[in-house]
Amino acid sequence: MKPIVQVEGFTKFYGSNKVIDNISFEIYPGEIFALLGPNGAGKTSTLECIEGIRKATAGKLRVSDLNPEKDFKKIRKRLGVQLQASALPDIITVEEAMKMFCLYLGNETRYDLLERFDLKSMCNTEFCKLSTGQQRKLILAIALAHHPELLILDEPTAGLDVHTRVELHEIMREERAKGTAILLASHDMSEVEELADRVAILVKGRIVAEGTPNEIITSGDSNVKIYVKTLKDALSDIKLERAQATSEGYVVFDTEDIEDTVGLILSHIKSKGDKLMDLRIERPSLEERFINITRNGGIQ
Amino acid sequence: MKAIMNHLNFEFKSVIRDKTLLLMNYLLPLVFYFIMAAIMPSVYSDFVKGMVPGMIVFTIMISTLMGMPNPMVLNKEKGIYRSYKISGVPLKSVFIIPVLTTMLHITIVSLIILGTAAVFFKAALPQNIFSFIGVYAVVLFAFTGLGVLIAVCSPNGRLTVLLAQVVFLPSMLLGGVMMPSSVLSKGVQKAAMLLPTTYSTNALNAVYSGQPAVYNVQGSLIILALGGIISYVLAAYLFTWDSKTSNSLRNLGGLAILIPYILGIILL
Repeated sequence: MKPIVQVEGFTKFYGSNKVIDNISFEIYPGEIFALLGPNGAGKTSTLECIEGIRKATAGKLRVSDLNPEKDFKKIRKRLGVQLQASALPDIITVEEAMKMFCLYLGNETRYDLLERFDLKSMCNTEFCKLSTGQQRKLILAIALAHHPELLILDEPTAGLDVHTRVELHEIMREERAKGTAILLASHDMSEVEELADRVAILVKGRIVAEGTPNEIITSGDSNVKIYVKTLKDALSDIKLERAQATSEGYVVFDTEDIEDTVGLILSHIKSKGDKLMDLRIERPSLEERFINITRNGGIQ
Repeated sequence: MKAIMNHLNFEFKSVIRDKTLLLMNYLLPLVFYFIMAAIMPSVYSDFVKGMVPGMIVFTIMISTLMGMPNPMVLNKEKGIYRSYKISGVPLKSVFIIPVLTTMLHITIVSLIILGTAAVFFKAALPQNIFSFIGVYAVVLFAFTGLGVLIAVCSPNGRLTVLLAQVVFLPSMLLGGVMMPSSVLSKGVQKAAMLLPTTYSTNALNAVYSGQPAVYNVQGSLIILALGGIISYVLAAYLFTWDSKTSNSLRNLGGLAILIPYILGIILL
């Protein structure tokens, strides 16, 4: 499958300040690719160069085989963007906004999208009178109005209530299912873990980790925690290499090898004539892994 | 074209919906005109002769300098222009649409002034309506250009008001709006020639009343047209889609707008 976005050796300077240092990645149709990183890592600069509103200093950027800088007009029709700071005039109504942007991109007004985003009944409501969630939904609806091949979302759910977040997640999944590639920049690790097919972690302008959320979580020295509860105290004298701790009646095992450790625990319980009450395996979250990776500036 | 017409329609309506723009484009110029027309003739008997051109220039000034730039700067500051750019709104729409809507609103107010001045205050109608329309168009072109340039060069809303006032306040005192330029001392007259208002009232008064002008009318029109052209060229050159990429030092290039008016001091 041909990638929608190709980034190769992309570097960006602001004056003498290097904000992106030779990064490469690809995004394929029907994929949610998340760009993670602490503030100032270079996420927004990367997005802006892909959008074509800033120039790359070096490297190759392509969106549907087009150069965002040189083919900006053509790319606009293939790109839907919801920026972190997306805004519309205060007094523009929902209908006027949808109509205006649809006309500029050569489409009919997408009332179906207003319906889908629960905004149809608010057609005459001015942008400044919408809630933050409704404003985000309107901007997302506008971004989707011309059936973009690539949807760029910068912090799409920041500051939104749970219901709106869930709704927007659902919309992102729908778009992915339709084959739209989604480039998502977010600080919300649970959102990324839940939605993203692949993740790249940017630290100081460099990609320090890339893969599926699961690959990233299980990479490095992130161990799995096994919580075990028995009827008696059979595990009090178990000898395992990994550190053990007790928590709320559970014995906690910190291990890299689940199969081996669980096998040992179960045979130990059996040998002691005890009974297993509960066994829970807890993987580290993407957030924990992200903190580990970014703590030392990406040096693992 | 359909998209631009739709955008123009929205911007035109936005002046009516937005209280600040309504105030700047309609209420202030009309209230000021009615107050001046009611009071000034008792203080200065010849006021009515130059009232219509003066009030029209005042309307143009307040709409283009105090009304038009601020929303443009806010659009830049809030990231609205950024959204426009990404969503396919071309640069020409960002410039042309606010200018055209401002011109339309100014023309509506100017027609109200022309009509009511003749009916209620016994002011004469223009001696040559076509010359008057021609001069009016040049004045409008020069001031809308200046308004756009202020919007482009200003980094924030507060500075926009300040920059606009730098032109607006001296214009009110020295530009021939309240009293003819001929009553000013020679030195002050020269200083007033740095303001587009001086050339505007000079040319409009001459074609309105058919009386000899203080400065050469054709010369005034050339200076104003040159001012308009330079303003638009500078604005297009200095424009940035968002305030983050705006460069204050580069924006100082906007001072080049003074060139035609300095030429006016030398040549007229």
